[in-house]
This record gives sequence, C-alpha cells and structure tokens, in this order.
Amino acid sequence: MKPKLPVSCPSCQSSLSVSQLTCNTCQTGVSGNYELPFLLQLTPDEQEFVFQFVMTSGSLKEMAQKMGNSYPTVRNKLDDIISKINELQQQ
Amino acid sequence: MKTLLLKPFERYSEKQLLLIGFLAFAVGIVLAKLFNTHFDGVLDTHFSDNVSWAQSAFNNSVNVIVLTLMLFLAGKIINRKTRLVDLLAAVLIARIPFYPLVFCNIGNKAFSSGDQILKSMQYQTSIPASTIVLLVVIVVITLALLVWSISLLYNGYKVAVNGKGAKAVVLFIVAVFIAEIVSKLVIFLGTNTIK
Repeated sequence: MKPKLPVSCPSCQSSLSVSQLTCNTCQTGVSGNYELPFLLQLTPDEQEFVFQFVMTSGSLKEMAQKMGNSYPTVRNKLDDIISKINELQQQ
Repeated sequence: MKTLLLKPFERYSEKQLLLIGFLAFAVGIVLAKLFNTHFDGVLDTHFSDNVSWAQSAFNNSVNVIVLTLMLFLAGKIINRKTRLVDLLAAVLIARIPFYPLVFCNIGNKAFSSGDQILKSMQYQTSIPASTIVLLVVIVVITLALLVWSISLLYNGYKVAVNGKGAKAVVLFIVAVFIAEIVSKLVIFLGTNTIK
C-alpha cells in the first residue's frame, strides 16, 4: 500500500510543511522549512482529478466519460477544487 | 439501483437523460389523453372524463417549460455556469413518476369516484365504502409518487447548479412554488383558447 502524504497536523489540524528532504541515491538529507505547494495540499482524490484534467487536455466531457459520471458532476468537482485552492491561497 | 431511481443525474450524460426524458414525456401525453388525466400544473394531477390530444400535449409542455425556466433562473443566481440543458433533463426525468398516476383513472374510475363524493356531499347521501377505499389508495399512491418526483427534481437541480446549503434549498422551493402558480395560470388561460 502506498502511504498517503499527510498534509495537515494530526494534533491541531494546521497545515504541515516540509522539514526534511532525502536523496534516494546517496541518502543526503536537506533540512529546512518548506511550504507544501497547493497541489500537494489537496486530497489524493483531488490530485487524481487534477491529473486526469491535465491528461484529457482539460476536456470535462472526456473526463466524465472516463470517470462514468455526468458532465455537471465533473464540472462541480472542478469548481469545488477551484474554491479549495482559492481558500488555500488566502490562508 | 438507488442511483438510478433517485440520483441518475450524477452518473448519466445529459444525452441519455434527455432521450429517456423526452420518450417519457411523449408517453405521458398519450397516457394522459387515453386515461383522461389533466396534469394542469407542475405539481398537479386531476382526473376528468374527457381530455383532448391538444390539451394533454399543452399541459405537459407548459409544465416542463415553466419549471425548467424557473429552476434555470434560480440556478443562475447560485452558479453562473448553470446550463439550461441540465435542468431540462432534470425536469423531464422528474416528471416520470407523475405518468403512472393516469392508471388510477382506468375506465374513468377515479373521476367518477370523486364526482360521486361531491354529489353525496351536495345531496347529503351516504358514500359507499368502496369509493372511500379507492380514493384513499389513490391519495397514498399520489403522495408516494409526488415525493419521488420532488426527490428526483431536487437531486437533478443540485447537480445542475452545484447547489449547497440553505440558499440552494430556499431558491429551489421558491422556484417550484412560482412555477406552480405560473403553470396553473398559463394552463388555465391556454385551456380557454384551445376550447
């Protein structure tokens, strides 16, 4: 099972930031305090939606066919993600 | 099954919904004519002893057009991306539960029972138990189908406008209420012209 990237603090629910990065080849570690990009603050489902959006060149009709959903359902999900990104930007 | 009966709008494309909706719309007109049923308002069903083809088609068309336009206006207030086609599909599908009601008037039974009760009240005569039982059954069936229709309509509206919260609910109720008044008025005025 692929572990999920935690984006909010399990204790106080605030957004988490990156404090350490590691090179998988030589195991060099870099420490610091880096904010997570907006895309990584979305849930895995939302990230998958954004990925599919890019892969279908932004065609919501094609996405709806692939996902087995109606066009307005897919458009609503996109609108919800846009609202969430706007909220994250304002924080 | 639950998705198909209550929330088809989340899964099926507008083309599939419109195809089924328009087929049901045509069948509804034929059934209303054959079984003398007036759909004389977006939430109304009344039984008669004579309904013409023109009246049946006019009633159903007015109901669909008026309700679609009212919900579209409500939808535009909530979300400017609302599409007319999604609300038309919602209205056409939500009207399907109304059509089986015509079978209550096979042989003008529902109409004559209603008429019998009115006459009994007028002339102070007793009402046969079978007539009362029949009307109670019709009322129960009507309420069940009405609840199903409104559930379908609300789910379709919610998906079409991406409606959330109290504002979407209030605008839905207001739109249906206004559509009921307007459709009754248009059908009343139109009926006199058709006659």
